Amino acid sequence: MEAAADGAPPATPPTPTAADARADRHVLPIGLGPGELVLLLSMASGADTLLLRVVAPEEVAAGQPVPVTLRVENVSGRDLELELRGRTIAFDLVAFDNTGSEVWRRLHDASIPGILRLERLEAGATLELTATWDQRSNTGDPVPAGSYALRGELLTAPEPLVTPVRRLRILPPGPT
Amino acid sequence: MTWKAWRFRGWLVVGLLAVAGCQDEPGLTGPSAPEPTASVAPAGPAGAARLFARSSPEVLALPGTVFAGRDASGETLVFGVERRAVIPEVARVLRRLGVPESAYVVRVVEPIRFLASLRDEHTPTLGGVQIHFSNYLCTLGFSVDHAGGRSFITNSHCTDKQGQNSGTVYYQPTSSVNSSPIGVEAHDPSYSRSLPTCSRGKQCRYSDAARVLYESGVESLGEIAKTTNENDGSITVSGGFDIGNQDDVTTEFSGTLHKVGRATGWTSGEVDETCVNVNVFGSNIQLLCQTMVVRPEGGIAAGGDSGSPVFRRTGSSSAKLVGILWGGSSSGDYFVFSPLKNVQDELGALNATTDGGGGSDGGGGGDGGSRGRCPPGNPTHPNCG
Repeated sequence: MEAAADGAPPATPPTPTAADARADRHVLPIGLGPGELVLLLSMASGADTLLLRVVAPEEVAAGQPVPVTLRVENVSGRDLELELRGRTIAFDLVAFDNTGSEVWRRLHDASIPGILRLERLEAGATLELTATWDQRSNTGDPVPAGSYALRGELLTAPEPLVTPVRRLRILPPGPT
Repeated sequence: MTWKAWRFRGWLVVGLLAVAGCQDEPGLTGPSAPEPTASVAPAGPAGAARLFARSSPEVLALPGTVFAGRDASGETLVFGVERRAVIPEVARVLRRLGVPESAYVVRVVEPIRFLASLRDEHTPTLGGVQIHFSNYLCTLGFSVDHAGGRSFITNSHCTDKQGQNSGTVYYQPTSSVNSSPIGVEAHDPSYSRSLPTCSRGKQCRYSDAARVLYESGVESLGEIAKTTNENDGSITVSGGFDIGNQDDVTTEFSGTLHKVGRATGWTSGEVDETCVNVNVFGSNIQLLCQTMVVRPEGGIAAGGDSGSPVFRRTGSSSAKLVGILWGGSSSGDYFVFSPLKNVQDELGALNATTDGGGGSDGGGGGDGGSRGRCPPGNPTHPNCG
């Protein structure tokens, strides 16, 4: 299940993945303020709930690094223990172009340690995982200006938790 | 399944379903004991209920008994035993209690064991089960005889400080389930910038492996937990792979390899890249001469599988150990492992084919009370000759 960004023309939705299908069983998308999308996830244990969202600029200049944050908030009202992959948490970020094709994945071809980290997230607390997209594709080439969709994936056990997409516009280079 | 597998504490193999399967078998019902001397015939279900209340506690106190109950009509007592040899003893007790032979049947059924998963407690320990340290979960790779004492091998990154001896304390499956540690980190060699082919700016080793010395009294098997099926996601333990042999020499692999880990259970795939240098995501660590095993469908490994034993199957319940898994892709379509040869080059000679009868002697040498055996096809092994 995907939701369009507030005020932005609807992009062609990315091709659903198996992770999407799994997430759909638990997803209740709700909108917040402009430019923010959130996803309420009810974990397998039932009442446990996490709020996941991707935070990124709405527009960036071509070639500029794009700061992207995967924000995970415990809205369950009680402390939770998350099982997250990696010694340092190995979250994933994915960028899709306006045809829905994946152009960049943070963990593309990455060999990640198979350790599982037990992360305690107190009631109301937020976990922020930040990375930077250098506007290059999985093949290392600069991506063209245009509209993109960003998605976050938290590598939890047993299944990854997936955010809805966040729209991002890469502006064409200005006149020199 | 080997005899050792039946020593596990806590799994279920078959439940009462075995009863139904036995009901039409000839020769399994009816005791061969003589008629009781003072029997009381049951008067319908009510009478049978009284006989049941009287007999059940005493019958189930006998060794080899499995269950006691009444059949669907409620008029006949039904007792389950593990083997025919138990039937005369059951009959003797029932006769003493005045239960007529016509009032009961005794059936031979499979014993009932608790269902256990790779994430449950296992005594003795064995490869493929969950271990816990600090705030992390990994997999116990395999137990070994080592000059430093009876130990198990897991990943170097499954220690408190990777690449140095930090005295990491391990629990199985978790400290909350069993607060008694099973072992303490004994050896985690440092990473080096100066190894041949190590890239600039990287810290390198040939294996992601550390040795953990067993605590005294902890029993361990030269075996890998076997789950119910291959590549089906099950983590339910149904037996074991006996480590009958280990590969001490190979660094280049081909064909099908298997692993068992606490996250994804027993999985297998095909060797894709072998003896390649691999950068570890999120670190400056580079592991030299590693092998990648792919399964395009995914699910071959996930978080928590670090430390999984990697092996070839040599039979339905036997294995040749070849290495230790340390990582893989986020999508689970491949895993990476360090060859056992590299592990031994860095941790010293080890023998993974033996059982350990009660843990280490504190690291003072010797084999820690284990009994070694000569691995088939490996005449140069220390236990051979």
